[in-house]
Amino acid sequence: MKHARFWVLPLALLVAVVLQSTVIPYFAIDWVKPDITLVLIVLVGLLYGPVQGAAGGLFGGLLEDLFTGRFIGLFGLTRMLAGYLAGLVERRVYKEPFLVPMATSFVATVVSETLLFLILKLFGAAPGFGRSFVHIIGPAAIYNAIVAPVLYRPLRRLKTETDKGTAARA
Amino acid sequence: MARFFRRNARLIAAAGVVVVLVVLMNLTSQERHHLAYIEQKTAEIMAPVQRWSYGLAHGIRGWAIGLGELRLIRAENHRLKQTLSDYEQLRVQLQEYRAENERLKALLDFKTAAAYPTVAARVIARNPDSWFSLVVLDQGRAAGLDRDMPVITPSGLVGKITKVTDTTATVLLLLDPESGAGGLVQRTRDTGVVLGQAGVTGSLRIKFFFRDAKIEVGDDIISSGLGGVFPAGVPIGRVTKVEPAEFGLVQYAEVKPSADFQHLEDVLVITSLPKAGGGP
Repeated sequence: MKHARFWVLPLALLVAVVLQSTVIPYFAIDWVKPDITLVLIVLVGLLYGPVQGAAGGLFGGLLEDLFTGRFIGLFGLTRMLAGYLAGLVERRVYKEPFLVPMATSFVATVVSETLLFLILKLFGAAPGFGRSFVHIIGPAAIYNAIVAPVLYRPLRRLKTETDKGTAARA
Repeated sequence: MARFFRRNARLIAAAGVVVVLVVLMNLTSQERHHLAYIEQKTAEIMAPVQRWSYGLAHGIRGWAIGLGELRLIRAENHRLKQTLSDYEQLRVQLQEYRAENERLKALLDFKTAAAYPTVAARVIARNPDSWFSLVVLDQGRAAGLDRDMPVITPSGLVGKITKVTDTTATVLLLLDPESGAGGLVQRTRDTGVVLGQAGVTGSLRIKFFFRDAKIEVGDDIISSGLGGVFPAGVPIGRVTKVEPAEFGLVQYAEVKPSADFQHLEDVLVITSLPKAGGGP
Protein backbone atom coordinates (compact mmCIF):
# COMPACT_ATOMS: atom_id res chain seq x y z
CA MET A 1 0.00 0.00 0.00
CA LYS A 2 1.54 3.25 -1.10
CA HIS A 3 -0.35 5.39 1.37
CA ALA A 4 -0.74 3.79 4.76
CA ARG A 5 -3.51 6.10 5.93
CA PHE A 6 -5.54 5.75 2.79
CA TRP A 7 -8.81 6.28 4.64
CA VAL A 8 -7.90 9.88 5.49
CA LEU A 9 -8.60 11.14 1.97
CA PRO A 10 -12.10 9.64 1.56
CA LEU A 11 -12.91 10.95 5.03
CA ALA A 12 -11.65 14.42 4.06
CA LEU A 13 -13.82 14.29 0.93
CA LEU A 14 -16.86 13.28 2.98
CA VAL A 15 -16.23 16.17 5.39
CA ALA A 16 -15.79 18.50 2.41
CA VAL A 17 -19.16 17.49 0.95
CA VAL A 18 -20.88 18.02 4.33
CA LEU A 19 -19.26 21.44 4.76
CA GLN A 20 -20.08 22.28 1.16
CA SER A 21 -23.79 21.71 1.82
CA THR A 22 -23.96 23.38 5.23
CA VAL A 23 -21.24 25.94 5.99
CA ILE A 24 -20.00 27.03 2.56
CA PRO A 25 -23.35 28.61 1.49
CA TYR A 26 -22.63 31.21 4.18
CA PHE A 27 -19.47 32.16 2.27
CA ALA A 28 -21.40 32.88 -0.91
CA ILE A 29 -20.67 36.26 -2.45
CA ASP A 30 -23.62 37.32 -4.58
CA TRP A 31 -24.73 33.66 -4.85
CA VAL A 32 -21.27 32.46 -5.93
CA LYS A 33 -19.66 30.02 -3.52
CA PRO A 34 -16.36 28.16 -3.62
CA ASP A 35 -16.51 24.42 -4.28
CA ILE A 36 -14.14 23.00 -1.68
CA THR A 37 -14.93 19.42 -2.71
CA LEU A 38 -13.73 20.17 -6.22
CA VAL A 39 -10.65 21.99 -4.92
CA LEU A 40 -9.82 19.04 -2.66
CA ILE A 41 -10.17 16.64 -5.59
CA VAL A 42 -7.87 18.82 -7.70
CA LEU A 43 -5.28 18.92 -4.92
CA VAL A 44 -5.43 15.14 -4.45
CA GLY A 45 -4.67 14.80 -8.16
CA LEU A 46 -1.93 17.40 -7.95
CA LEU A 47 -0.20 15.72 -5.00
CA TYR A 48 -0.82 12.03 -5.70
CA GLY A 49 -1.14 11.65 -9.47
CA PRO A 50 -3.81 11.10 -12.15
CA VAL A 51 -5.15 7.72 -11.00
CA GLN A 52 -5.59 8.81 -7.40
CA GLY A 53 -7.01 12.12 -8.63
CA ALA A 54 -9.55 10.37 -10.82
CA ALA A 55 -10.49 7.93 -8.02
CA GLY A 56 -10.89 10.80 -5.53
CA GLY A 57 -12.93 12.72 -8.07
CA LEU A 58 -15.20 9.75 -8.71
CA PHE A 59 -15.74 9.17 -4.98
CA GLY A 60 -16.28 12.84 -4.04
CA GLY A 61 -18.44 13.46 -7.10
CA LEU A 62 -20.70 10.49 -6.40
CA LEU A 63 -21.16 11.71 -2.83
CA GLU A 64 -22.34 15.06 -4.23
CA ASP A 65 -24.59 13.18 -6.63
CA LEU A 66 -26.28 11.39 -3.74
CA PHE A 67 -27.08 14.78 -2.23
CA THR A 68 -28.52 16.26 -5.37
CA GLY A 69 -30.39 13.13 -6.42
CA ARG A 70 -30.82 14.17 -10.04
CA PHE A 71 -28.60 12.94 -12.87
CA ILE A 72 -26.64 10.65 -10.56
CA GLY A 73 -23.17 10.31 -12.08
CA LEU A 74 -23.05 13.92 -13.28
CA PHE A 75 -20.67 15.08 -10.56
CA GLY A 76 -18.92 11.68 -10.46
CA LEU A 77 -17.96 11.98 -14.11
CA THR A 78 -17.06 15.66 -14.19
CA ARG A 79 -15.07 15.55 -10.93
CA MET A 80 -13.25 12.41 -12.08
CA LEU A 81 -12.06 14.38 -15.10
CA ALA A 82 -10.95 17.27 -12.87
CA GLY A 83 -8.93 14.95 -10.60
CA TYR A 84 -7.35 13.21 -13.58
CA LEU A 85 -6.38 16.48 -15.27
CA ALA A 86 -4.85 17.84 -12.08
CA GLY A 87 -2.94 14.56 -11.75
CA LEU A 88 -1.32 15.14 -15.15
CA VAL A 89 0.31 18.25 -13.69
CA GLU A 90 1.77 16.20 -10.84
CA ARG A 91 5.05 15.17 -12.44
CA ARG A 92 5.46 18.04 -14.80
CA VAL A 93 5.53 21.10 -12.64
CA TYR A 94 7.71 21.96 -9.70
CA LYS A 95 5.28 22.17 -6.79
CA GLU A 96 5.39 25.63 -5.31
CA PRO A 97 2.47 26.20 -2.96
CA PHE A 98 0.66 29.14 -4.56
CA LEU A 99 0.53 29.57 -8.29
CA VAL A 100 0.47 25.88 -9.24
CA PRO A 101 -2.54 24.96 -7.05
CA MET A 102 -4.27 28.19 -8.07
CA ALA A 103 -3.77 27.72 -11.80
CA THR A 104 -4.58 24.00 -11.65
CA SER A 105 -7.80 24.64 -9.70
CA PHE A 106 -8.80 27.37 -12.09
CA VAL A 107 -8.28 25.27 -15.22
CA ALA A 108 -9.73 22.07 -13.71
CA THR A 109 -12.84 23.98 -12.54
CA VAL A 110 -13.39 25.50 -15.98
CA VAL A 111 -12.95 22.14 -17.76
CA SER A 112 -15.00 20.13 -15.26
CA GLU A 113 -17.85 22.66 -15.07
CA THR A 114 -17.90 23.05 -18.86
CA LEU A 115 -18.33 19.28 -19.23
CA LEU A 116 -21.10 19.46 -16.61
CA PHE A 117 -22.74 22.26 -18.57
CA LEU A 118 -22.58 20.23 -21.80
CA ILE A 119 -24.12 17.15 -20.14
CA LEU A 120 -26.92 19.27 -18.66
CA LYS A 121 -27.41 20.73 -22.13
CA LEU A 122 -27.90 17.18 -23.48
CA PHE A 123 -30.61 16.61 -20.90
CA GLY A 124 -32.12 20.00 -21.72
CA ALA A 125 -31.54 21.23 -18.17
CA ALA A 126 -28.77 23.77 -18.73
CA PRO A 127 -29.06 27.53 -18.66
CA GLY A 128 -27.78 29.56 -21.59
CA PHE A 129 -24.11 29.43 -22.53
CA GLY A 130 -23.33 33.06 -21.64
CA ARG A 131 -25.25 32.91 -18.40
CA SER A 132 -23.53 29.70 -17.32
CA PHE A 133 -20.08 31.15 -17.90
CA VAL A 134 -20.71 34.59 -16.47
CA HIS A 135 -22.72 33.52 -13.42
CA ILE A 136 -21.47 30.03 -12.56
CA ILE A 137 -18.30 28.76 -14.20
CA GLY A 138 -16.18 31.93 -14.31
CA PRO A 139 -16.83 33.12 -10.74
CA ALA A 140 -16.51 29.57 -9.36
CA ALA A 141 -13.14 29.12 -11.09
CA ILE A 142 -11.83 32.36 -9.57
CA TYR A 143 -13.19 31.57 -6.10
CA ASN A 144 -11.76 28.02 -6.24
CA ALA A 145 -8.36 29.35 -7.33
CA ILE A 146 -8.32 31.62 -4.27
CA VAL A 147 -9.27 28.77 -1.91
CA ALA A 148 -6.77 26.26 -3.37
CA PRO A 149 -3.55 27.53 -1.70
CA VAL A 150 -5.31 27.53 1.70
CA LEU A 151 -6.15 23.82 1.43
CA TYR A 152 -2.89 22.93 -0.29
CA ARG A 153 -0.60 23.28 2.74
CA PRO A 154 -2.41 20.94 5.17
CA LEU A 155 -2.90 18.38 2.42
CA ARG A 156 0.78 18.46 1.47
CA ARG A 157 1.74 18.06 5.10
CA LEU A 158 -0.58 15.05 5.35
CA LYS A 159 1.09 13.50 2.31
CA THR A 160 4.62 14.09 3.64
CA GLU A 161 3.66 12.46 6.94
CA THR A 162 2.02 9.41 5.40
CA ASP A 163 4.96 9.01 3.00
CA LYS A 164 7.38 9.14 5.94
CA GLY A 165 5.29 6.66 7.89
CA THR A 166 5.26 4.24 4.97
CA ALA A 167 9.01 4.64 4.39
CA ALA A 168 9.77 3.99 8.06
CA ARG A 169 7.75 0.78 8.02
CA ALA A 170 9.28 -0.49 4.76
CA MET B 1 -6.20 -10.60 -26.60
CA ALA B 2 -5.31 -11.10 -22.94
CA ARG B 3 -2.20 -9.01 -23.49
CA PHE B 4 -4.27 -6.25 -24.99
CA PHE B 5 -6.46 -6.21 -21.90
CA ARG B 6 -3.48 -6.26 -19.55
CA ARG B 7 -1.73 -3.47 -21.38
CA ASN B 8 -4.79 -1.22 -21.51
CA ALA B 9 -6.31 -2.20 -18.16
CA ARG B 10 -6.50 1.38 -16.90
CA LEU B 11 -8.03 2.70 -20.07
CA ILE B 12 -10.64 -0.07 -20.10
CA ALA B 13 -11.44 0.47 -16.43
CA ALA B 14 -11.86 4.21 -17.06
CA ALA B 15 -14.09 3.61 -20.09
CA GLY B 16 -16.15 1.16 -18.03
CA VAL B 17 -16.63 3.70 -15.25
CA VAL B 18 -17.66 6.37 -17.76
CA VAL B 19 -20.21 4.06 -19.39
CA VAL B 20 -21.69 3.10 -16.00
CA LEU B 21 -21.95 6.78 -15.00
CA VAL B 22 -23.61 7.77 -18.25
CA VAL B 23 -26.17 4.97 -17.92
CA LEU B 24 -26.79 5.98 -14.29
CA MET B 25 -27.32 9.61 -15.30
CA ASN B 26 -29.80 8.56 -17.92
CA LEU B 27 -31.74 6.39 -15.49
CA THR B 28 -31.90 9.08 -12.81
CA SER B 29 -32.62 12.06 -15.08
CA GLN B 30 -36.31 11.22 -15.14
CA GLU B 31 -38.61 12.06 -12.29
CA ARG B 32 -38.40 9.19 -9.83
CA HIS B 33 -40.94 8.12 -7.28
CA HIS B 34 -38.63 5.82 -5.36
CA LEU B 35 -35.16 6.45 -4.11
CA ALA B 36 -32.38 3.89 -4.24
CA TYR B 37 -31.59 2.28 -0.87
CA ILE B 38 -28.15 3.94 -0.76
CA GLU B 39 -29.68 7.39 -1.38
CA GLN B 40 -32.17 6.87 1.45
CA LYS B 41 -29.55 5.68 3.90
CA THR B 42 -26.99 8.38 3.02
CA ALA B 43 -29.58 11.11 3.51
CA GLU B 44 -30.76 9.68 6.83
CA ILE B 45 -27.28 9.07 8.23
CA MET B 46 -25.98 12.47 7.14
CA ALA B 47 -28.97 14.43 8.46
CA PRO B 48 -27.80 14.77 12.11
CA VAL B 49 -24.29 15.77 11.00
CA GLN B 50 -25.67 18.33 8.58
CA ARG B 51 -28.10 19.69 11.14
CA TRP B 52 -25.24 20.25 13.57
CA SER B 53 -22.94 21.77 10.96
CA TYR B 54 -25.60 24.08 9.46
CA GLY B 55 -26.65 25.19 12.95
CA LEU B 56 -23.07 25.96 13.90
CA ALA B 57 -22.48 28.02 10.76
CA HIS B 58 -25.72 29.88 11.35
CA GLY B 59 -24.78 30.56 14.98
CA ILE B 60 -21.38 31.97 14.06
CA ARG B 61 -22.90 34.16 11.38
CA GLY B 62 -25.55 35.42 13.79
CA TRP B 63 -22.92 36.26 16.38
CA ALA B 64 -20.75 38.15 13.88
CA ILE B 65 -23.70 40.07 12.52
CA GLY B 66 -24.92 40.82 16.05
CA LEU B 67 -21.65 42.53 16.91
CA GLY B 68 -21.72 44.61 13.75
CA GLU B 69 -25.31 45.63 14.15
CA LEU B 70 -25.20 46.75 17.77
CA ARG B 71 -24.54 50.35 16.76
CA LEU B 72 -27.40 50.40 14.31
CA ILE B 73 -29.90 49.08 16.80
CA ARG B 74 -30.43 52.31 18.70
CA ALA B 75 -31.30 54.28 15.59
CA GLU B 76 -33.48 51.43 14.43
CA ASN B 77 -35.28 51.30 17.77
CA HIS B 78 -36.21 54.94 17.45
CA ARG B 79 -37.47 54.42 13.93
CA LEU B 80 -39.43 51.33 14.91
CA LYS B 81 -41.28 53.16 17.66
CA GLN B 82 -42.34 55.71 15.09
CA THR B 83 -43.45 52.98 12.70
CA LEU B 84 -45.31 51.22 15.47
CA SER B 85 -47.61 54.15 16.04
CA ASP B 86 -48.24 54.31 12.30
CA TYR B 87 -49.13 50.64 12.34
CA GLU B 88 -51.53 51.13 15.21
CA GLN B 89 -53.54 53.43 13.00
CA LEU B 90 -53.31 50.97 10.17
CA ARG B 91 -54.55 48.20 12.46
CA VAL B 92 -57.71 50.07 13.24
CA GLN B 93 -58.23 50.71 9.56
CA LEU B 94 -57.56 47.05 8.81
CA GLN B 95 -60.23 45.96 11.27
CA GLU B 96 -62.68 48.15 9.45
CA TYR B 97 -61.76 46.61 6.13
CA ARG B 98 -61.90 43.09 7.55
CA ALA B 99 -65.39 43.63 8.86
CA GLU B 100 -66.43 45.02 5.52
CA ASN B 101 -64.77 42.17 3.70
CA GLU B 102 -66.53 39.60 5.91
CA ARG B 103 -69.87 41.14 5.07
CA LEU B 104 -69.19 41.20 1.35
CA LYS B 105 -67.93 37.62 1.37
CA ALA B 106 -71.03 36.46 3.16
CA LEU B 107 -73.05 38.24 0.53
CA LEU B 108 -71.26 36.48 -2.28
CA ASP B 109 -71.46 33.17 -0.44
CA PHE B 110 -67.72 32.61 -0.58
CA LYS B 111 -66.36 29.88 1.55
CA THR B 112 -63.36 31.05 3.53
CA ALA B 113 -60.53 28.63 3.17
CA ALA B 114 -59.29 27.49 6.56
CA ALA B 115 -55.61 27.68 7.42
CA TYR B 116 -53.78 24.79 5.81
CA PRO B 117 -52.51 21.95 7.99
CA THR B 118 -48.75 22.39 8.15
CA VAL B 119 -45.67 20.72 9.58
CA ALA B 120 -42.76 22.89 10.72
CA ALA B 121 -39.32 21.84 9.58
CA ARG B 122 -35.80 23.15 9.74
CA VAL B 123 -33.33 23.49 6.88
CA ILE B 124 -30.25 21.36 7.55
CA ALA B 125 -28.39 21.50 4.24
CA ARG B 126 -28.29 23.00 0.77
CA ASN B 127 -27.11 21.53 -2.50
CA PRO B 128 -23.30 21.51 -2.68
CA ASP B 129 -23.06 22.85 -6.24
CA SER B 130 -23.96 26.07 -8.02
CA TRP B 131 -26.25 24.57 -10.66
CA PHE B 132 -29.32 23.45 -8.74
CA SER B 133 -31.33 25.05 -5.93
CA LEU B 134 -32.31 22.54 -3.28
CA VAL B 135 -32.51 22.44 0.49
CA VAL B 136 -32.78 19.45 2.82
CA LEU B 137 -35.31 19.52 5.69
CA ASP B 138 -35.01 17.68 9.01
CA GLN B 139 -38.47 16.10 8.74
CA GLY B 140 -39.57 13.31 6.45
CA ARG B 141 -42.20 10.70 5.82
CA ALA B 142 -42.43 9.96 9.54
CA ALA B 143 -43.75 13.50 10.12
CA GLY B 144 -46.30 13.12 7.34
CA LEU B 145 -44.32 14.76 4.54
CA ASP B 146 -44.52 13.53 0.98
CA ARG B 147 -43.54 14.41 -2.59
CA ASP B 148 -45.09 17.49 -4.21
CA MET B 149 -46.08 19.10 -0.91
CA PRO B 150 -45.67 22.89 -1.03
CA VAL B 151 -43.19 24.58 1.29
CA ILE B 152 -43.64 28.17 2.54
CA THR B 153 -42.25 30.64 5.05
CA PRO B 154 -44.29 33.43 6.61
CA SER B 155 -42.75 35.80 4.05
CA GLY B 156 -43.51 33.76 0.96
CA LEU B 157 -43.55 30.67 -1.21
CA VAL B 158 -40.37 28.54 -1.06
CA GLY B 159 -40.83 25.49 -3.27
CA LYS B 160 -42.05 21.91 -3.26
CA ILE B 161 -40.79 18.60 -1.95
CA THR B 162 -39.24 16.39 -4.62
CA LYS B 163 -37.56 13.68 -2.57
CA VAL B 164 -38.48 12.20 0.78
CA THR B 165 -36.95 9.66 3.14
CA ASP B 166 -38.25 8.63 6.56
CA THR B 167 -36.41 11.44 8.33
CA THR B 168 -35.52 13.99 5.64
CA ALA B 169 -37.11 15.78 2.70
CA THR B 170 -35.50 17.57 -0.23
CA VAL B 171 -37.16 20.76 -1.45
CA LEU B 172 -36.82 22.07 -4.99
CA LEU B 173 -36.69 25.84 -4.47
CA LEU B 174 -38.59 28.24 -6.71
CA LEU B 175 -35.14 29.50 -7.77
CA ASP B 176 -34.29 26.22 -9.49
CA PRO B 177 -34.48 26.28 -13.29
CA GLU B 178 -36.70 23.19 -13.24
CA SER B 179 -39.15 24.83 -10.87
CA GLY B 180 -42.38 26.47 -11.94
CA ALA B 181 -45.41 27.85 -10.09
CA GLY B 182 -48.59 29.59 -11.15
CA GLY B 183 -48.44 33.27 -10.24
CA LEU B 184 -50.60 36.33 -10.68
CA VAL B 185 -50.18 40.07 -10.48
CA GLN B 186 -52.08 41.05 -7.37
CA ARG B 187 -53.08 44.45 -8.75
CA THR B 188 -54.31 43.44 -12.20
CA ARG B 189 -55.01 39.68 -11.73
CA ASP B 190 -52.95 38.87 -14.85
CA THR B 191 -51.79 35.27 -14.53
CA GLY B 192 -48.45 33.80 -15.53
CA VAL B 193 -45.90 31.18 -14.61
CA VAL B 194 -43.12 31.95 -12.13
CA LEU B 195 -39.89 30.30 -13.22
CA GLY B 196 -36.50 29.78 -11.59
CA GLN B 197 -33.33 30.72 -13.35
CA ALA B 198 -30.23 28.60 -13.62
CA GLY B 199 -27.01 30.28 -12.72
CA VAL B 200 -28.72 31.20 -9.53
CA THR B 201 -28.77 34.93 -9.03
CA GLY B 202 -31.50 34.98 -6.42
CA SER B 203 -34.17 36.29 -8.76
CA LEU B 204 -37.21 34.75 -10.44
CA ARG B 205 -38.94 35.43 -13.74
CA ILE B 206 -42.63 35.51 -14.45
CA LYS B 207 -43.81 34.60 -17.92
CA PHE B 208 -47.15 35.86 -19.26
CA PHE B 209 -48.77 34.14 -22.17
CA PHE B 210 -50.10 37.34 -23.67
CA ARG B 211 -48.20 40.43 -24.70
CA ASP B 212 -50.38 43.08 -23.16
CA ALA B 213 -50.22 41.93 -19.53
CA LYS B 214 -50.48 45.10 -17.52
CA ILE B 215 -47.47 44.87 -15.28
CA GLU B 216 -45.32 47.50 -13.61
CA VAL B 217 -42.20 47.59 -11.50
CA GLY B 218 -43.22 47.23 -7.86
CA ASP B 219 -46.23 44.99 -8.55
CA ASP B 220 -46.69 42.17 -6.04
CA ILE B 221 -46.83 38.64 -7.42
CA ILE B 222 -48.78 36.03 -5.47
CA SER B 223 -49.45 32.37 -6.19
CA SER B 224 -52.50 31.71 -8.34
CA GLY B 225 -53.20 28.16 -7.14
CA LEU B 226 -53.42 27.02 -10.75
CA GLY B 227 -51.70 23.69 -11.29
CA GLY B 228 -52.85 22.31 -7.98
CA VAL B 229 -49.46 21.98 -6.24
CA PHE B 230 -49.25 25.39 -4.56
CA PRO B 231 -51.98 27.10 -2.53
CA ALA B 232 -53.44 30.33 -3.90
CA GLY B 233 -52.65 33.74 -2.43
CA VAL B 234 -49.18 33.12 -1.01
CA PRO B 235 -46.72 35.97 -1.70
CA ILE B 236 -44.06 35.10 -4.26
CA GLY B 237 -42.22 38.37 -4.84
CA ARG B 238 -42.15 41.85 -6.27
CA VAL B 239 -41.51 42.89 -9.88
CA THR B 240 -38.13 44.57 -10.30
CA LYS B 241 -37.92 44.78 -14.08
CA VAL B 242 -40.41 44.44 -16.91
CA GLU B 243 -38.95 43.02 -20.10
CA PRO B 244 -40.74 44.57 -23.07
CA ALA B 245 -42.47 42.03 -25.30
CA GLU B 246 -40.73 41.93 -28.65
CA PHE B 247 -42.04 39.71 -31.42
CA GLY B 248 -43.07 36.74 -29.37
CA LEU B 249 -46.42 36.06 -27.82
CA VAL B 250 -45.06 36.01 -24.30
CA GLN B 251 -43.92 38.70 -21.94
CA TYR B 252 -41.45 38.37 -19.09
CA ALA B 253 -40.76 40.28 -15.89
CA GLU B 254 -38.04 39.84 -13.31
CA VAL B 255 -39.22 39.19 -9.75
CA LYS B 256 -37.36 39.56 -6.47
CA PRO B 257 -38.64 36.74 -4.26
CA SER B 258 -40.35 37.51 -0.95
CA ALA B 259 -38.80 34.55 0.86
CA ASP B 260 -35.18 35.02 1.93
CA PHE B 261 -33.68 32.14 -0.03
CA GLN B 262 -30.14 32.89 0.97
CA HIS B 263 -30.84 32.44 4.67
CA LEU B 264 -33.62 29.87 4.84
CA GLU B 265 -33.93 28.47 8.37
CA ASP B 266 -37.42 27.41 9.39
CA VAL B 267 -40.14 26.55 6.91
CA LEU B 268 -43.68 25.21 6.90
CA VAL B 269 -44.73 22.27 4.77
CA ILE B 270 -48.39 22.30 3.77
CA THR B 271 -49.52 18.70 4.14
CA SER B 272 -52.85 19.00 2.40
CA LEU B 273 -54.54 21.55 0.21
CA PRO B 274 -58.30 22.03 0.11
CA LYS B 275 -59.81 20.66 -3.08
CA ALA B 276 -60.09 23.26 -5.82
CA GLY B 277 -63.36 25.11 -5.95
CA GLY B 278 -64.51 24.21 -2.48
CA GLY B 279 -63.92 24.99 1.16
CA PRO B 280 -61.97 22.83 3.59
